[in-house]
Amino acid sequence: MSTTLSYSQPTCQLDVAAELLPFSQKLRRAPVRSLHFSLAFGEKLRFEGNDRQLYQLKTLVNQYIESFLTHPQTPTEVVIEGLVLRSRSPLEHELHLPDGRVILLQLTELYDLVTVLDDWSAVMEPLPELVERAQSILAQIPIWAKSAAVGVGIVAAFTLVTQRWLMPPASMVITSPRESNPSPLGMPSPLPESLETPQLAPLPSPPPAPPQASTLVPLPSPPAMPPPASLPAPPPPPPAQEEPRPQSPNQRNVVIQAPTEAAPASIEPVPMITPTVEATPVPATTLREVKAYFQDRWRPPANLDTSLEYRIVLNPDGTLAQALPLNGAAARFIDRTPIPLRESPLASPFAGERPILLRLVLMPSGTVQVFSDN
Amino acid sequence: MLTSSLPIKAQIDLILLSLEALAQVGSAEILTLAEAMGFEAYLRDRVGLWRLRQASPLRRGRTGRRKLDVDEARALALICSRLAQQHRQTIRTAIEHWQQQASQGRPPHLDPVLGDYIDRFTGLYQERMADNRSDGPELAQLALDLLVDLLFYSTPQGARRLWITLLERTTPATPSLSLVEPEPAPPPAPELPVLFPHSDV
Repeated sequence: MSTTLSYSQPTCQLDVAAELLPFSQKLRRAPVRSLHFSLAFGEKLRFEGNDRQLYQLKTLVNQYIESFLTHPQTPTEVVIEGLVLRSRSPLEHELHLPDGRVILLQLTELYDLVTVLDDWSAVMEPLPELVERAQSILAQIPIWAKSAAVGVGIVAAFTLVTQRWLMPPASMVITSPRESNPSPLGMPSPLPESLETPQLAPLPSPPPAPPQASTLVPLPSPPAMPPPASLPAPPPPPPAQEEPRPQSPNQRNVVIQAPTEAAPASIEPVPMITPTVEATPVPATTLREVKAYFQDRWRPPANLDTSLEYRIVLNPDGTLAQALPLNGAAARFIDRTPIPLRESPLASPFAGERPILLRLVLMPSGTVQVFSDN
Repeated sequence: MLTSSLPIKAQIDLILLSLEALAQVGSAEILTLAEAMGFEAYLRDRVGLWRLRQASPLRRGRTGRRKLDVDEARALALICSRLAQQHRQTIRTAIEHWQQQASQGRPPHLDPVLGDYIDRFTGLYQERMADNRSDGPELAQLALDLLVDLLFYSTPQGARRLWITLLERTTPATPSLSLVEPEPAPPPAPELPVLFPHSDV
């Protein structure tokens, strides 16, 4: 099940297209897999990327803040694969993007960036309890019951969780002042391990837990995440949505929008949309523009051996309303495709008041096909 | 800078001092929060809080406890972070005023909000601390540094950031290896690493 998570701060907005994991429904916090993100500082900067890039950004910011706080009088610079954060002064910080763009962040903007990334990672990072539960379930299964189906199913679920939980920033090349300042004589710094363990960062949001209980909850309490299916679909936003939403400055929001995409098993689009769009003719110009959009951006992954098919629902203003994977590979590879977030422009506005349906086929050869899906 | 290489108990006391100067956080609020967070065992009453804060080596007339154990330090750190989160709007507003002053090329203390904060912080510091070497500008800078710290302690993962900062700032400066004269004979084995070099946190 896919959804869009939105995190708003006064100067910063993070939208993450994410996939809920199967067992997230039964947990207080729903572990999810990010597919695509969009980060905007008002009109100042808009930055998009995939799951890996978002983790890199989070790691960069965390490293930078740690270094900035612990060495306040030393100019701080952290580099991770083309992403750079560099201090100019306590109030000004440069963010360099891999594409060469540089944005000067005021301290409050940096704070907002930290806050939305904290909020996102609180939801994204799987819980230790979840892993423990998977382990205990695994341990409780009698040997005779470890038939192929049960064993494979549990192990697959556990592996999925463990991989995500242990997702290391290890593949990243991190340069920071801290690395050039190793502990003396190779000694561990005082209580080093405890820093990374959950014990010291519980701070449960209200109601607080007693100390011994709080050590089991490593992350700040996340926003409540009701099942997205129970939420009403949001009204279509106005075409111009670049301005940050008016928020009270101290408001930390997580807005869960209605599911944008169905799982492969339930391919049909939202019933609200289907009957209204079927009869709408698709202008040839729109077809050409959408095809050109994907043709310019589609870079098939090396391990892709089948075509990816999506149903694209396009708003009359040319923005994406929905993208529904129509086969299993399309769901698995959606984060590798150039399909943008909802409400992102795909084509110029066309005549008519109703959305149109398109079929998008992305082939392993790099070829793109777009045609009317009536 | 005053906050570098200070024991944890002194750093925590300064954080509480800056919260007191900025947001009028008093002992009643701290004790209420301690109870709500389940830390009443460490902070039973005003006297207990006073004794913990008096453990700071910067304090005038140190009659409080000399030692602060890890659980007490942890409880105080979590309380500081929660207080920062509860007052994050006040902290953010003060930072915005500072940014505005800086953009106009004006010193921060001329802003009413920041000026009041710096004045209160300086007054509280001079009233309570034995350190009389610090003059006005140095204390004003310390107040602003603590304000930046508070901003990031008020983030969702502020407690973790605060704890790391406390430990890192307590770590003694590393001797530069380049200053060590090469010796023909192997140097004597270094002393065994002290597992808890800051037991007197």
